[in-house]
Amino acid sequence: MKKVYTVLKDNYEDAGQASRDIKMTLKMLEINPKVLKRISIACYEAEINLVIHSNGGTITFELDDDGIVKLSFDDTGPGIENIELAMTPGYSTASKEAREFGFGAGMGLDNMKNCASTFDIQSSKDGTHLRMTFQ
Amino acid sequence: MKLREILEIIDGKEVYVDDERVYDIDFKSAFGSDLMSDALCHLRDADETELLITGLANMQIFHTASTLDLAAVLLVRGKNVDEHMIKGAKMSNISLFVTNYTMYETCGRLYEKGLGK
Repeated sequence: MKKVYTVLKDNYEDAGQASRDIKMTLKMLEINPKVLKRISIACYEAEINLVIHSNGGTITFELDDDGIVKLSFDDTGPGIENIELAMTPGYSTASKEAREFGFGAGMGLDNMKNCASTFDIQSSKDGTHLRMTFQ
Repeated sequence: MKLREILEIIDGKEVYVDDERVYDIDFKSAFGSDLMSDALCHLRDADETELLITGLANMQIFHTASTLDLAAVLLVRGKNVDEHMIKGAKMSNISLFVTNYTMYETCGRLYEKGLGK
């Protein structure tokens, strides 16, 4: 199973819709609720990041025959200057608008890493590519 | 602590009830924050017995509550809730309540009466 969602920059209104759809899909497939919770949190955090930090991009949800869920977040920039710093709990470059929307505590990437079974992030000024798997 | 007692303590009002069974939930604790990213981080193991208390009045409170498998959100500081917000609560299957007390007073009153102690 594979689904691709488009996420637009600064579209605060619809932020979270893709994650909700992915959660609903997995819920119908009766996936382990504890794993589903971790997927939901990581997916929503990453979707929010696309909205508040990137120029926009896509979320790709894949479920393989072994029940492994793979989530990929690919944007078109501007990239994360210092990934190590961005991973530090509490560090944030979120805008005032993002904070007013309830985000930008600087816990997102660390939270995603803790929720996922595998976590990989690559970034350049042309875009950030985040891959997470869950099992 | 049942919801009717919670509402009585903070003089809260029902805005939208998605499922009447929310009144049967025995709430064990609550988390108060206007930062949803903090809630997502601290409530990873939460369930419907956790009450989200916030002064943030936008759609993200429902996405956050739904992501965390919560059942109810309590808005503080008498935030106005429009039709759009109620639609958001409905879509996320989250029940919404409001109190005129501040975050500090709301949490203090509920904690004093035993919620989360």
